[in-house]
Amino acid sequence: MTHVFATWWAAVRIEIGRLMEYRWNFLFRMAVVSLVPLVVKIYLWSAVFASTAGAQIGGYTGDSMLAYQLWGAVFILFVEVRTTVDNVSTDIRHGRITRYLLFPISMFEITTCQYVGSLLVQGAGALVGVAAVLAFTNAMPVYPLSSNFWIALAMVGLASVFWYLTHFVVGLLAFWLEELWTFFVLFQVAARFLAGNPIPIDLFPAWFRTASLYLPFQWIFYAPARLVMSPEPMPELWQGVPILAAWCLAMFLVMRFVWRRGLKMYTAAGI
Amino acid sequence: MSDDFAIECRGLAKKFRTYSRQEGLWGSVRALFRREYRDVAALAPFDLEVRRGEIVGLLGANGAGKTTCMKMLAGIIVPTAGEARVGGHIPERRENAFKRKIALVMGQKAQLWWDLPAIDSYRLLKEIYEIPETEFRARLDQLAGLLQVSKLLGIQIRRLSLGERMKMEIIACLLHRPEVVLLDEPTIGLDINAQETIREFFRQYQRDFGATILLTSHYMADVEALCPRVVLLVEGAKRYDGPIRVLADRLGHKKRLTLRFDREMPRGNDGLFAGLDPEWKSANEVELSVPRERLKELCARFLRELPVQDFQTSEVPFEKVVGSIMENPDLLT
Amino acid sequence: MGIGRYWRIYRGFVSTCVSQEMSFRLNFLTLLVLELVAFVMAVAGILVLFEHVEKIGAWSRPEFLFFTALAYLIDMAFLTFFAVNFWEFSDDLRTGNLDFVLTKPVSSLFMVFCRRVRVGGLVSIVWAIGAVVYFGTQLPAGWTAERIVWFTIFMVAAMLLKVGLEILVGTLMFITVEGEAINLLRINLQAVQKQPDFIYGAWFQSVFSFLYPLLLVTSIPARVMVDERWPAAVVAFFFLSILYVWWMVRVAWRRGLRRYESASS
Repeated sequence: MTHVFATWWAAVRIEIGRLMEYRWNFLFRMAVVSLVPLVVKIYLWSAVFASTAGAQIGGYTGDSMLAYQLWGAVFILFVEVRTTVDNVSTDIRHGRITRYLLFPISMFEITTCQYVGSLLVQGAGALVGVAAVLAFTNAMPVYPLSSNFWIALAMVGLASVFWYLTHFVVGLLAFWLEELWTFFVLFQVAARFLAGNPIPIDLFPAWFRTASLYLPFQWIFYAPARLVMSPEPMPELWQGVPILAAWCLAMFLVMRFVWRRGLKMYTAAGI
Repeated sequence: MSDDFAIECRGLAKKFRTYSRQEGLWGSVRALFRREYRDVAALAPFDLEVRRGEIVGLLGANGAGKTTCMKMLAGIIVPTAGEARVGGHIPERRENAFKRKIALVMGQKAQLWWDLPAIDSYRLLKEIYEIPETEFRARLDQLAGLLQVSKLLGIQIRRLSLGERMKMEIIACLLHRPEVVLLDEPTIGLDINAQETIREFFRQYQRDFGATILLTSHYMADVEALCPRVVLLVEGAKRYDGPIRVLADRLGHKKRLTLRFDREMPRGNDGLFAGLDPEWKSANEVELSVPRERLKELCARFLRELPVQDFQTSEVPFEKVVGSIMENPDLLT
Repeated sequence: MGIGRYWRIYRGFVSTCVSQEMSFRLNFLTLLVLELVAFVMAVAGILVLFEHVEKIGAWSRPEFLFFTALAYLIDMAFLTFFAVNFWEFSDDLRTGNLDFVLTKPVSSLFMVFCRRVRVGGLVSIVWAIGAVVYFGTQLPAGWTAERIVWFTIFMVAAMLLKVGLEILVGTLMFITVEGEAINLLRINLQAVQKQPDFIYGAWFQSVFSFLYPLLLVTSIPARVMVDERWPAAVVAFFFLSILYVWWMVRVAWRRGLRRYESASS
């Protein structure tokens, strides 16, 4: 067992080293690429609230909307981790998964370790950002002693797992399809919108809010952001944890099924 | 610089900046903030003159600077020092007139569209190089015929074998009939038949069109077949420039003597072969490296004292010559 | 001879791209779906916002919907004719395949950024034009022949500006070599241009109007249809920006090529 953990940790370390190899790329990714959409959203909402002469919109004030967007941006960094899971499809197409079939460690384990490595790096950057904002402003209210806070963290952890598993499954479609990047982007575009980014789920019509309860998306951005901002218990959002856990389990089972079916088709082309 | 030469270099040099970091996680984090850079001389100041219509082999171990030299001559990278002229142009200026005169064939890289038949890529090149239709068809038919791939022009590149793909890449590079052809390991990874076809092709091409060819290859068979003259690079510096035969003779005028015995030989006989670089092919066959002036004497002695069933003499393989010189460049002095 | 030759080469690019795209038909379809879904979500977002407010800045719902459609059209045009080339450029830089581009007797800028065309995007452009016309007809200022002519001119100019700005960011890949983050930066910067300039603060507007004039790309053509009149100084500045950006592109590209070290083989 120790050996297994040692192998996993080695894979995680290698991924961290790989990300840091291209310095400018790494810095751009952390600082600029995350900030630009956030800045646009903040300006947009500022303009919207400026037009309301101080009135609330869907229960949000200008300050609480800002906090919602900031916290959501932090949680995105722990969920939308750009990693080598995007390479699952190219590895399959080019026959490179053959090495995993020969190694005493599965492709899923290796890719998961790489994902964890990327998550650690991206998460560290996010925490630096949070620390900076908390140190100099009160734009991001947080109540670490409240149950909401810990439930939000659990939700973000599960959201990260769900996001990873979904990308892995889409990558496995390379056993059957040649080009997959459109599926990734389609998923990301739809998921962000349905997650309440940039418009909180509260502002949508009732039918949309009801449907969102059962989908995994609002638990990625909207729910954790709302939870972490509020000291008052919000049990209507706590149900996101079992819902998201069920989605993770479902994706894991789908992943195993697709992997087995895909391996039967695998021709190791390109080697 | 003179117009008599198709390729001319004076003090051409290139340095690359690299860095090293400590291994492990801490090394990665440190490297984020501080890196130790150093300059690596990929090519030391290098002089070369290649006449029009000449074929020259550029030899050297991996990292010797051959491909770096090729890329500077093709105008892909800019030299750190010195100057070059190819086809009368300065490559780093990348003038269109210069680009029409050259071709670069890289055995390890492909320029053709992977998912399309070669003919589609050729039609695009036809427009890029402004080749008239009749000339395009004539050249394509000729090149495809010489390389025996006429029937494969309509098949997607990714469905072809490695050798067939390489032939298509060669056609792509020669459609515009360049004056100077830079070949960077054109036969790498190919089977023997494909290698021989490509060698014969370039021999014929050079005869028919008088192109100037600069070739790098790790296969000495390529160099021996095509290049009357070779330039040897060792760690970025030129150590030899002259006829290939003279280089071969630099190893003390040696000949290869192969002895086959009628029984397995105990290794105690190696004393007889001292200083002759014995290489046992099997328990009853050995190859020796023998100075020419001692060949007759040693043959007589071995035939007298050993149970020799058969023997054969040949030139020392060129790979061995070059390999020995790369390991010990002082052999050239 | 120059323009005719480049046109013939471009036709060759389009021809090879059509052949290639037709061998990935599912990808062709999913891309169309993706682009439509992205537009529908953008429109849905505007509709949801305007359930809660009457105006944002000086604009109300019809203006915002028109602006969104316009941003979508510019986006689709860019995605169709240029976007894929930025990802290929990143790969070519890293693998050294840029070598082949540099040996061709054609402008390397043209070869790198015009080589690949996403033919399927033409369908999305048609939808986008339909959306622009539909939402445009609901604007109070209305359509006149003069406005449409000016709008077309400004749209072409806006595309020139946008492509120049994107290439300018793209040249940063000569420094980073691994270009994924630069491409992500480019894509994220596009979000700036998808909102009207007046929502941004003063310093932000200054930077993205004068230094890196991204805000002009969608906002200026939008104002041609939305506003009653526009100052000549703004128009002149818009066209001067295009010259300025392309001059910067030329400088950055040349510097980048001198820096290029190819990849080891």
